[in-house]
Amino acid sequence: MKPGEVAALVQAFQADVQRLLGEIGQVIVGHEEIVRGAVMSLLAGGHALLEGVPGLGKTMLVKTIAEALDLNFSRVQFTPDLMPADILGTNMIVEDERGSKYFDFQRGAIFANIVLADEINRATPKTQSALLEAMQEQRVTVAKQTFVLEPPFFVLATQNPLEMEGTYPLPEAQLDRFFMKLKVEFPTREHLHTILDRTTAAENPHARKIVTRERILEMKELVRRVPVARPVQDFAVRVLEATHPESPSATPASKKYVRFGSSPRGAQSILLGAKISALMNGRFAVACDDIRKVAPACLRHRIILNFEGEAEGVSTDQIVAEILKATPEAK
Amino acid sequence: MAEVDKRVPDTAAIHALLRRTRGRLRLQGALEWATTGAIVAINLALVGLFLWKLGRLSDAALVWTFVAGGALVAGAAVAGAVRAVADGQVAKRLDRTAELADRLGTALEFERQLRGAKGQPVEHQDFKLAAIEDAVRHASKASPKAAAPLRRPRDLGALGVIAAAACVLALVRLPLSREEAVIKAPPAPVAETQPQGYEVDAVRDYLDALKDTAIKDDNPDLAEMAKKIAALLDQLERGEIDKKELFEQLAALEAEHLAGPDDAEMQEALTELEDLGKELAKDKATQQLGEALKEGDLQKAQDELEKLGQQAASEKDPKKQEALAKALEKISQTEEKLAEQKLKKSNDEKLAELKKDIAKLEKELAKKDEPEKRAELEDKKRELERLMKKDAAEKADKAEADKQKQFEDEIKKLAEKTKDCTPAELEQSRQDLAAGKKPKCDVKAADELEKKRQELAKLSAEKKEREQKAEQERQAQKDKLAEQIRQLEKKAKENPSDQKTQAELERKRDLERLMRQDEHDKAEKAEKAEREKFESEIKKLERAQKLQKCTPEQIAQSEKDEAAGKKGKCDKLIADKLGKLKRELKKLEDKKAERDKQREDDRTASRKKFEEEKRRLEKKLQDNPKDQEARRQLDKNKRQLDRLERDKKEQQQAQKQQKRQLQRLSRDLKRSAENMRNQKPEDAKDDLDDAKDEVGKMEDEIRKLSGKKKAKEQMGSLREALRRAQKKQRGEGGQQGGRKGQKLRDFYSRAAGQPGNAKVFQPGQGSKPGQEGEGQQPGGVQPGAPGGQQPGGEQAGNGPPKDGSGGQPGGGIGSDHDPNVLGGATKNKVKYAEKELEGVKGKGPSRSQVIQSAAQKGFASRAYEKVYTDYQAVVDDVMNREKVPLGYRHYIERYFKLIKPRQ
Repeated sequence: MKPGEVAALVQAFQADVQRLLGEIGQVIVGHEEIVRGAVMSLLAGGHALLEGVPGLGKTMLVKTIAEALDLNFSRVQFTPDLMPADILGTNMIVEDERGSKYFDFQRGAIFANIVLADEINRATPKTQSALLEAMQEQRVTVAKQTFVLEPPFFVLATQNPLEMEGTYPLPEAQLDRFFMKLKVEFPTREHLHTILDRTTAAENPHARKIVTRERILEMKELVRRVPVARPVQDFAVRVLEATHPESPSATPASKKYVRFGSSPRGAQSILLGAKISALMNGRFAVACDDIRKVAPACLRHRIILNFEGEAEGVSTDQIVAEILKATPEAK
Repeated sequence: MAEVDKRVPDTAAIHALLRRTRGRLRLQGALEWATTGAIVAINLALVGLFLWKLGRLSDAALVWTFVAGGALVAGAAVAGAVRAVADGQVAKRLDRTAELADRLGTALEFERQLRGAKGQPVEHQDFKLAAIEDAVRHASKASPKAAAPLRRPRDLGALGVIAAAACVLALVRLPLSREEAVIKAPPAPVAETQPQGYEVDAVRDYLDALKDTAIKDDNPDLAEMAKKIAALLDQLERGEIDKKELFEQLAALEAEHLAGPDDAEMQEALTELEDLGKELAKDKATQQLGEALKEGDLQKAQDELEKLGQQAASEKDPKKQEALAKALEKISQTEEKLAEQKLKKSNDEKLAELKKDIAKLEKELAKKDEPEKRAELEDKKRELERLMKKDAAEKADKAEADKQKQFEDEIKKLAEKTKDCTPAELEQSRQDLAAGKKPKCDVKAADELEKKRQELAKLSAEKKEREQKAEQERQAQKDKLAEQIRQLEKKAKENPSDQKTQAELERKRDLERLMRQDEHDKAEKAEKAEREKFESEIKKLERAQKLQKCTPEQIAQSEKDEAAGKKGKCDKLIADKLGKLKRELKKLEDKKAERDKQREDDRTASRKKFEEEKRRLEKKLQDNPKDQEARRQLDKNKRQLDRLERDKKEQQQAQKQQKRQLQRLSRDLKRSAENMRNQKPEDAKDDLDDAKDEVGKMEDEIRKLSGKKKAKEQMGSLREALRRAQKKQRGEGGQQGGRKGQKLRDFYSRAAGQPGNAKVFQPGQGSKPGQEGEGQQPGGVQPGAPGGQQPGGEQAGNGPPKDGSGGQPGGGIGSDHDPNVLGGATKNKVKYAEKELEGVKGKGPSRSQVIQSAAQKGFASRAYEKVYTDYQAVVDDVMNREKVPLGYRHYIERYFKLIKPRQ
């Protein structure tokens, strides 16, 4: 492929993403970073975990993304009595026209392109585990029968940081499977005005279908082709290393407050996110700035604080911010 | 390659940018480094300038200093300019300033990858090429000026300040310029010194305790020492001697009066006595004596020895006499055996230790060859060889002596058999034997005796010859060694750096020293034998004199009588001989003492020399740790010091061995046995009495030892108190001591139940005001002393005023006496009337009440004395049992001394 063609592809990618973000922005007020993060997770082939208090529009955001992408969407409200079969599906006895009975697999909510796992931490670990396994493998096996989930398969899980009583917080190993963890913040006053204006009018805004499923797959493929220069990749690696308290490049905060640093999946996420960021900015290669942009969302759920960190109320975002500040780009 | 070149877009624009930016960076680096270098150069030049001004630097050297400074600046600038600046770093700067999102850096990296692939496809090649093109497109946005701005060097400010300061300092004219003569510092004003004494009141309490111990233990030595210490304290108080001198003299006094066997030595002697007792208990004749020694009951042992003496004197039965002689001989043999075992054990230990050291050194040398260790090894080997030779020689001597003794015994026995035969009778007996008649004399024994005598004479002659030969050889060897040393010394002087010669010289000197030591040992041994012989002779003569029952006065009278032609009562010959022998012995002892002293002085001088040398070398090594020669010398020095220490120990051990009382006891017993055999029961009794005296001496030593131990402890406390003794305050106009001393005197005054000085303990100092006119004893029998005034110390004039308000301290040392030397007349403020008190029956006050009362009213009461005595015993016990550090011990003792009952 000639450089000119590459440039055209990148431009098309940038334009599509811009259009998609614009369309989502028609419905979702504010939360640009969240929307970008969700789109990045989708294009990277990962899943996103949205954390925020109820009523901030998390479910709305996911629905809007599904609408704008022209993809199948399903929603599962996680409750303590939700069973794995409710998500994955189950074999049921079905009677045919001739009256003979047979088992037929009834697909669960997971058989969609975009799945909203609402309040994921309310379901039991067994159920959570069923979903997370499917997220990782992108396939479902029931009664020795395997069903491949149709790509793109994108799970957006939400969790409420409040009302922790009666919840089952996701274990660290399962959190690691989310490409990004996005924090949904309370909207600003200006954004609140806009939300009120839009949602209290006669008609509620809806997103139009902007990008097709096929285009999404193409874009996903393009992301993987973006190169990374070794110094830039080295920067990503050093950032990851600095999250480990025992590492020589660890910052004082990570030495003091971190129990376990991020797994290599963190670096994978950072690099993929950075590639998407580069494409979204019309560039052909990843820059250190791209890494700086995506690192907080990719690392915040992969760093486990120690008791001192928890007791001091230190957030993983603070740790990552310090690491990014302290790690030099060129070594 | 051509394909690659075609494939990779033209990145000349990027490289041009990099070059320009790098150039600017180098320029900036050169400026920074040159500035820093200039600071160093200015400092260097300043130092040079100052040294030049002081005349320590020549003009040429100053110029060279400036040149070096200039070169330093230039060198620093070059170093700053040529330092490596990586492409990545330059690109990063450009990317950052132009906000190019790492385009240039990434493009360079991709270009390197593509060019490195040499035409081979590279992963994501299309994207990489696109990224390079994109970077080239954006290169125009980057600016080398922005990426590497030329800034003012960091250290420029500092350079300016230093340069300005340097200019000012360079213009300063030093008082000691090169032309100016050296101005000597004016001599320090000599302060008028006057001996300044120390406060020793507190120390005298400890001296009193020492005197008490002397009286209690009936130890005149200790009493004498206390007297001398008192004199020393007076001198210290007057300022005639300082503390250092005092401590030296105290040490000398201690060495003189508290010397003698220590606890361990006495314990060792007692253990030996116990072993001896065990052996003696086995024999019926000496069973009681053995039991007494075994139990360590020396008094009983003395009684037993006395009994044995009486038995020996009164025993008429030859068989019993023989049995007793055997028993006594056995004691001395047992003791000799014990002494031998001890000596052998000590020698074996010494040899084993040396062998161990040698093995260790050899092992270390096998790992790493160090000349110092090799020299040490040689030294140890020589020492081992000497000891082994000495050991072997001693063994041979002993074997020879045993053989000679055996001959002598046999000759004695044979002579006993033939003592009644004259040579004529012996000849007659021979003829009778030839004629088949019964001979009168034992001819066989006589022949045997003759033969033995000849053999003994031959043996003695051989020994003498051997000794002469050995002596000649030794002398020849000594001369040869002396010659070799002379030559080596000459060689070493010519070439001092020749280590081989030095080592050889050292070795030869060591050999010479060992030879000298051997000679000395031999001489000592001979001298000892001679001394013993003299002692034995003296004893015999004294005994003879004793038999004549002559007092020294009678002997003197006899001498006068004989001079007048009359026959004296006492045999003058014996007296003369005795006097002569005693003089000889005295001469011998003096000679030995002198030699020992000389040896000790030599050793002390050598030690001092070596220690000084050691200090010097250590300092040298501290200044220059790499000085191998100094290290070698230091090691040598240490070895010599070790050797001196070893010699000293050996000599001490030998002296100890000679002083062994047990040895003397054994000698007396042996002599007694001999006398018993020779039918001299009176002499045997005398010897046993001597043995008894030896045991008595031992008992006395043991008794004195506990006193000495206590005295040593008391000396420790005394020394500690002396260490804390303060100098007397100046300017208090003849007052003894300053405020502290005044306080102490006031305390003593009140402790004795007398009124104190109200002003001495100021309010707010934690003390109550003086208790004027109190001082009554419980029961009010003793009236209070005159209130608040004492005569004004030794020198009147500044004593506390009558109202107890205290005077101003004098401006200096008083020059004259106050005319009113005794102070004002005592005014008795207290009204008192004599009363007769009746005792009240009852328990009296409790202990706590007594103590409280003493604390408030003084420590002069009977009840308090009783309480104190009880408590003092407990304190003494605890102080003896517990390990109380000397510093704390001082405080405890001081406290109890302060609260002791007063008269």
